[in-house]
Amino acid sequence: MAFTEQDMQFEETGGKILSFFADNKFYAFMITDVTDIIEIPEITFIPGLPDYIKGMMNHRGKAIPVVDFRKRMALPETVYDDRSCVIVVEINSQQAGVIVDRVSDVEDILPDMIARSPVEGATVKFFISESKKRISLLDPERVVRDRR
Amino acid sequence: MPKFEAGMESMLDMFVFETGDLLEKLDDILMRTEQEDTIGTEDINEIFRTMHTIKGSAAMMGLQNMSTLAHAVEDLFYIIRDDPEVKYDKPGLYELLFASSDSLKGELDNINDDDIPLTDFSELEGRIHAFAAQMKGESAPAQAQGAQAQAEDISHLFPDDEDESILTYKVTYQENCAMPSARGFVLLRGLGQIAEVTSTLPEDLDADEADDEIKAHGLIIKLITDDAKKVLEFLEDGINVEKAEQLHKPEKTAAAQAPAAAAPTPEQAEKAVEQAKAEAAPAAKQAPKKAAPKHEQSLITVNLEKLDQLLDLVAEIVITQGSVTSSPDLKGISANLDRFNKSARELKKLTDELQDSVMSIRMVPVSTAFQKMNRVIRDMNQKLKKGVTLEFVGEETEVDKSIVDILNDPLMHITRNAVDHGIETPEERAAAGKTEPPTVTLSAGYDSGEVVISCRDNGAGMDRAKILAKAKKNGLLTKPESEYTDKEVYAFTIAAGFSTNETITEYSGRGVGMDVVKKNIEKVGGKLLVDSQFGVGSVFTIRIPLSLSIIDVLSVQVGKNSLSVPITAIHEAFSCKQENYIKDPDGNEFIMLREMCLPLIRLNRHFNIADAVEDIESGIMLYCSEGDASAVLFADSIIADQQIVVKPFSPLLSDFPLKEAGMSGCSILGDGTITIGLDVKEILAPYVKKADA
Repeated sequence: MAFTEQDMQFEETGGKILSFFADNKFYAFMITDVTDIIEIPEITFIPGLPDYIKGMMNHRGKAIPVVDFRKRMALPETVYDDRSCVIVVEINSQQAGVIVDRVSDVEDILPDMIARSPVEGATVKFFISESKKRISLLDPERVVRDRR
Repeated sequence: MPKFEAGMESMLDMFVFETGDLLEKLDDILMRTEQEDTIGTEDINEIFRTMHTIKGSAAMMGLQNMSTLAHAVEDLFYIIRDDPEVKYDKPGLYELLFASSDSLKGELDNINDDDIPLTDFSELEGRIHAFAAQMKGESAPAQAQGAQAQAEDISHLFPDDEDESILTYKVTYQENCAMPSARGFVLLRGLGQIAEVTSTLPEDLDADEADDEIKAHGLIIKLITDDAKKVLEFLEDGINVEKAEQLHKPEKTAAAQAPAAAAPTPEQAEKAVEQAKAEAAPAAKQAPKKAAPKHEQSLITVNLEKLDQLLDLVAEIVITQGSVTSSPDLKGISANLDRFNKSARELKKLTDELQDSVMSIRMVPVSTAFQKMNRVIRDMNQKLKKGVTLEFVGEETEVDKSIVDILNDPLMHITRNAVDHGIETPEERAAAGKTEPPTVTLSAGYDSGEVVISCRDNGAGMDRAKILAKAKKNGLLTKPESEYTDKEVYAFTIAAGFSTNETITEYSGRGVGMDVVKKNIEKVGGKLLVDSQFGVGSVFTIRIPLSLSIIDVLSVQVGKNSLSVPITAIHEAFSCKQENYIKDPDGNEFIMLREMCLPLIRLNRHFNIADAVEDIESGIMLYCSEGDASAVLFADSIIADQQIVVKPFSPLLSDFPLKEAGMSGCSILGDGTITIGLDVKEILAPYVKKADA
């Protein structure tokens, strides 16, 4: 995915992000990519999909795919608890769910905290340094769509 | 810059649709009347009206070229209508009419493309005018309208009691403007945004004489506004506006005259009333006469999108109703539910009816697509002199509107091919001893959930050897020639880059058409088949699934998944005994059902679903067939026989071969769970009987 106008603007002026944990690391989506945060619903297995897509869930009357974030990032598997949830992201007006360990916070990011990834079209678009922690800001489309 | 009047974009769809429809009808009339000696009065009136309407609406859209062309044709029929005895060259007239109709259609097609400039029809218009002049006899000189500007007395425009804040403008239109009243109407609409229009002269822009009045005296607009400059600018920018000016009240003299006119004596008033009465009487008599020939159709036009929405809604209702009446909560209630059940049945009956009637709204007879072919055949007969007759069978077959739209192009290609390649020249036919007239037959009908449209010609048929030779030349052969079956050979004719016609004609021969047709049909889940018999003729058959978004399915359990098989594909569901199960040494599994040995497809293994029933006797068998293929599907158990709305998978999953694996989409059931819709054709694909005829 090439750099969008939205990305350019984020780099210049900063913006809000939704950060979350997976395997003790911080990741984030831009707040504008996120439409909902919900409990993990019943997920219907769909044959023929790669491992990291757990299946489809019924989100407000629509069947949308659900990605297991740990599997997608090749992180060790874990048992999801009651703090785990699904972040619903919107990609070109198509929704998809992403299961994460735990949602952290909505944070305001200033331009000087942002470093663009040197790799064009990578899964992580920006690296954000905030006090002591490092947050990887993700491209939702790469998270859902990409085959490794 | 768009070609049509700014602010009319919202009307564009309507204009294109209506005008297209009118031209379609015009073609029908022309086709019908071409063979007759004279054109009936009714038809003349109809053509006249059609052209008049097109002229008006094109002018409204600011499409000057279309408007003047329609005007020219209207003039022709004005002459014919006025003098039914008038002599004219009928084939010549029809040539002009068809040419005009085609030009207008072409312009409609290009209207949305700003890169294509408005076509200049003046050459055609010239021919029409010349034709009209010939009809009238050279004696009638060109009508010269003495619309010379006079020093007009404008004082009558300013009644004494008029408010000071009312400004008066005069708009003059260019002389070649076809319908200034329509232009004026558009102008007023736009003006409404920057000023309040209090009155206009002529008052009624719809009136018949409004055009002449505007041509003679200009359009007078009275309005109240804060920004007089802006109004003037706006008026000057209007299409075809030659001059726009503000008029000022003339002094004294006019003012003196005005009250005299404004206050008539009682005598005059009485006279006026009587006169009015006398005028009203014959007018009343005339009115019904005028109205009689107008057939008001009780039809309305609806945006297809709205219908889709309605259909979606109905689908949701059907499903929600199911979830209410069979709610699991009801199972826990021990009380008597008789009345509830009765109402539930009533509701189901009503929703079923609702669903049927919504579906039927979208259904149109295929004849709309077939009729267009009349024109194709006519044009080709004219050029190729093959004298082909076109016959329809089952044209009343109703199909979804979207299917008719899909059919238009393929039918056109196939019909052209049939006439151009299929039907021989009269000499060839005579030499072959064929006495029956050359005929192309279009037929329509239903077959197992599909619409079947075929185009049959009684022409030369296809020459197997010739096709093979050509295929070889074009490098299309993939196995030895002798191994090709007839069907496979004929299929070459619709493959890419194939055409047996040595010379390329205007209509066909480039070999691009058919494979595009085939691709387009396949895109919507349809099929294109060819069959032929040398010397007897060929048949092209299009099969397209009926686009019904709600389908009846049998949902089965496999492991934890619910899979839904379309009822249309299922012949029977049965439990199988061990003795009817066969496993051959290669590991293939079969089920003996009566005299048939059918391949067994275990859905759990096909889809890699875990924790499913493996034991043949404890599961359920579904004997399915689709097209030429049959097999038995094996599932754990039957969940329900229900109706679902299959929605395609999210585009985000387009990278994965879900469709190829045999899943057409998924559907959310009344209880919120998700079932997967199966595409039996894909699942059975490996078991298609090798076609050898």
